[in-house]
Amino acid sequence: MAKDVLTGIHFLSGNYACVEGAIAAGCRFYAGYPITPSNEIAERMSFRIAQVGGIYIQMEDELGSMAALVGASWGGAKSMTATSGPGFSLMQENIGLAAMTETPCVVVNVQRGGPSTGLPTLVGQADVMQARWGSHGDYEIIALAPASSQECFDFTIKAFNLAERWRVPVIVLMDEVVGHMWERVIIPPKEEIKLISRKRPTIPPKDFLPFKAGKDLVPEMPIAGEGYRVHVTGLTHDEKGYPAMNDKAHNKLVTRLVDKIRKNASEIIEIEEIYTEDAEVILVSFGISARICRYILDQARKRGLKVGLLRFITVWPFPEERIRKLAEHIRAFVVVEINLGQIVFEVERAAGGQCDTFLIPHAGGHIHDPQKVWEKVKKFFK
Amino acid sequence: MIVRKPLNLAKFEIPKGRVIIFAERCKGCELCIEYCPKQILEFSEDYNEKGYHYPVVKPGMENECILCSFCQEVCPDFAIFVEKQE
Amino acid sequence: MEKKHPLEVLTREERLPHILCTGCGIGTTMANLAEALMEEEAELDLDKVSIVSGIGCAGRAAGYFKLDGFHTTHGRPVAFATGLKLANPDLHVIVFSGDGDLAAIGGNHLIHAARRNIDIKVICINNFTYGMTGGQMGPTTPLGTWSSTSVYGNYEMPFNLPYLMEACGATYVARWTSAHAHYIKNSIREAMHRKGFCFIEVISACPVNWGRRNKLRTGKAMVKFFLDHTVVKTHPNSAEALIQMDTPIVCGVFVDKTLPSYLDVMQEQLSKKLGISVFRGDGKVELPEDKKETKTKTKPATKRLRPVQIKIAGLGGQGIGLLGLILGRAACIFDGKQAIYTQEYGPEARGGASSSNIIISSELINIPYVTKPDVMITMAQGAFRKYKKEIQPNSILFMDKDLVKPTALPKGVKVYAVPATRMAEQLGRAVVANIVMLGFFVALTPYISLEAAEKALNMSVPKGTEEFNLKAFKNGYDYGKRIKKEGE
Repeated sequence: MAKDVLTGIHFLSGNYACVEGAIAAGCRFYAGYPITPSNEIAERMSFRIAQVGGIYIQMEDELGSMAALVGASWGGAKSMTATSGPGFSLMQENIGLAAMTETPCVVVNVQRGGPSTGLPTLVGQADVMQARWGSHGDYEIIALAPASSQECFDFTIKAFNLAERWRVPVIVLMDEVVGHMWERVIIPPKEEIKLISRKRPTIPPKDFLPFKAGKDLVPEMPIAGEGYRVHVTGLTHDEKGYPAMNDKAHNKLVTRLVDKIRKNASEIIEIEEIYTEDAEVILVSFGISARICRYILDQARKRGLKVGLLRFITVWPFPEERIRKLAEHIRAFVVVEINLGQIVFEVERAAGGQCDTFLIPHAGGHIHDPQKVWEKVKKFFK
Repeated sequence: MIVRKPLNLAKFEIPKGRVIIFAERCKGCELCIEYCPKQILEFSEDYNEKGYHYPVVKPGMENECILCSFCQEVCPDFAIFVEKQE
Repeated sequence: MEKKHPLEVLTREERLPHILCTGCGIGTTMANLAEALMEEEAELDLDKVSIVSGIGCAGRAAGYFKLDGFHTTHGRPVAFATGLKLANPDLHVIVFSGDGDLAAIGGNHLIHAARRNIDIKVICINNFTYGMTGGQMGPTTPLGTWSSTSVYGNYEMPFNLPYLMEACGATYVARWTSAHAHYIKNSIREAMHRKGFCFIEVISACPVNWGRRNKLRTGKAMVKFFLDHTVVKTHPNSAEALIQMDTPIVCGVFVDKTLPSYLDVMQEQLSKKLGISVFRGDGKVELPEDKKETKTKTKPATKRLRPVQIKIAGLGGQGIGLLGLILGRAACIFDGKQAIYTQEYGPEARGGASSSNIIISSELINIPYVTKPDVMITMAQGAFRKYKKEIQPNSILFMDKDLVKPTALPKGVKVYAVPATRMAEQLGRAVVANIVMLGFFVALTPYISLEAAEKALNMSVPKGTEEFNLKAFKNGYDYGKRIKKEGE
């Protein structure tokens, strides 16, 4: 029967590549609800995960899907779901539960035009802020933005590794174009794929404190059935896991949850920079828009224009330090995102007024017209 | 031929129990007192820390508990249990 | 020496007394659950028992048990428990929650878990109210009774939960009241011995937020009410289990049957086809050996190919999607190139004009869409009409000779026509017209090697049809070669 790692050269859509990445990463539990344009992920996952003895359950809604993910993770599973805008909105409460209980899990959002039902079959990139702030309260998550089928494979593995390492829900921010287009994907031999699993308890149950963290702010994670009799709650809790509803305990816990990502950001953040050292204008983008920007970059450099490109591989946590540093020596950031302004606000904030920040918006439904972007960039060099 | 054996009551031992009460956990719901089949419990005179009267065994009825365990099974607060008297 | 309550083995005694009120039925049910687990200890590994609760007074129960406990979000314990159980089927998963959490906000998960017969045990505390938030009405509040949001009397019909659960497919359905202390314990023990979805409803006293306002001021009064107003039947009919204040509360075991659980059915259906007998989310599964070797070394592209934009247009059902896919596979898997393939279609499954678009290059391609096709392949007149304006001057147009009548083409367009549909019909099936076109295309353009095209074709068609498709391909290819020769 089929293997868990389909080593070889493939021609796959982003959605299919995402599934292969998940299976290769050890995902054996998928709970989801069909929604365009992520349906292909559910469809492929339903038989691929069965081929490796895993569980595919099509839950009755996205609320149940996300809850099942958190439950499965505490049962020891690497769990994943895939959705798009409307479903992502429904999942927010339990993403918050996953963040509060420090449960590793992966949520793939194949973004489409919004808001509301919007454009089910066409692209958007307007869920960026929602990925970060979608649930209530203070918490931090990690979000990745693949820009090719190969990256859908690679970044899904990366998502699982980050989720397990930092015990947070990790959002894979795909978009409809990346999800539906087919490209070459090279799947390496199983031995070459590095996988990370959650830190397990190192002391027996008697003295073990399930929510006490070491220097890296990540506690060791017991799972159900091993005798640790752990109590896990969405209420503010102490190191034992028991509800502790006072401001002291709350400040201690929530600060650690947030610092867990913020203080370790340098280990988590990944960005791609091309020609930024001598650039006067830097294009900033992620996902499919970054491919358009790459085209613009090539055109510009061919004509000797000093343009650079900064692409977010991790959109969250946001690389504000790097933006701040780059802002020192450039004239402007030009942000290209398929929305009416989301990540641009982070860029502007991080730039701190040291340079200008411009947005080339697009409400959704299609990728930016490369010509239009090119016209705008050319203006800087008149 | 199958013959019914007469019941030898002398052989039957009515179980003997001892009631243990955790006064501080009790919230005074009175269910144990109300439904003890031998009615061996009553409210205490004094109060626990939360201000509730709690059950005490009626004086002289310490040996009347028949170990039915109803008080243990109905108590909402893990405040009372019975153990076998040797 | 201080004696320990026998149930302290299972309770987090440092957190007692718990937050529940005097005479609360949840407390009695918790005691019964603890007793049931203690009595089953010989056969049950308590380390493997997990308790999942939602939000509400009943939801707090999980926090008092010395078990792996999960206090989840409102309405979601059943979904959480589903994930937990399927991740590790060795766990005994008990859901302990309230009527609002399970049947209102969580109703959807309840009915589906019952339908699926997921092997979890659900203890539903039905105290007729949303207790923790102050006594609002809920989906089980009896008609006419007072709640903080129905001060003139509740005018909503409540759920008949046993009836609902039986209808959804639960295999064990029981109801008791919190007065029936011993019976609750027995039902829980029975449920632990059953495989499948078990639902135990415990009509519970909520003296402070429901009873007190409905003339039953204390836990004692409510328990007396329960005892006076229940009728315990050995085979009660769930259709008669609706709770009204003036009719007896029917208690007993409504449903007790043995049906294969979710995992049993899954295993039965899949194990034969997949050679796997166990499915679990935590990955602790033995997989059959698979010795297939696959290559990862890409054949380096022999010469630089600048991006070629190819648009394939036809009607739904003509297999233009497949055609584009084969080209992409040929380019990437067998020719060492890069390609991007996208599709464009309307809602019709058949007959609507649609296109598949493929860009082939030796390097990574940046713009994923075909904007100025270098090659257009058209399989039908309707498609030609729709995409006509995209035909570029000096580009190449491939067309089905019989189906497409091109008009007003831009300057310098080279037209290659093949009677693909007719040739396919002659072979026996019109559906391979796209494969004939594929062969024709490969013969007349340098973008895909013959070897790559044949290999890609082989892996892309339904098993058993490889030879037939190869024949169609060859026919198209030979036709193309003939035309090329004639042109020279």
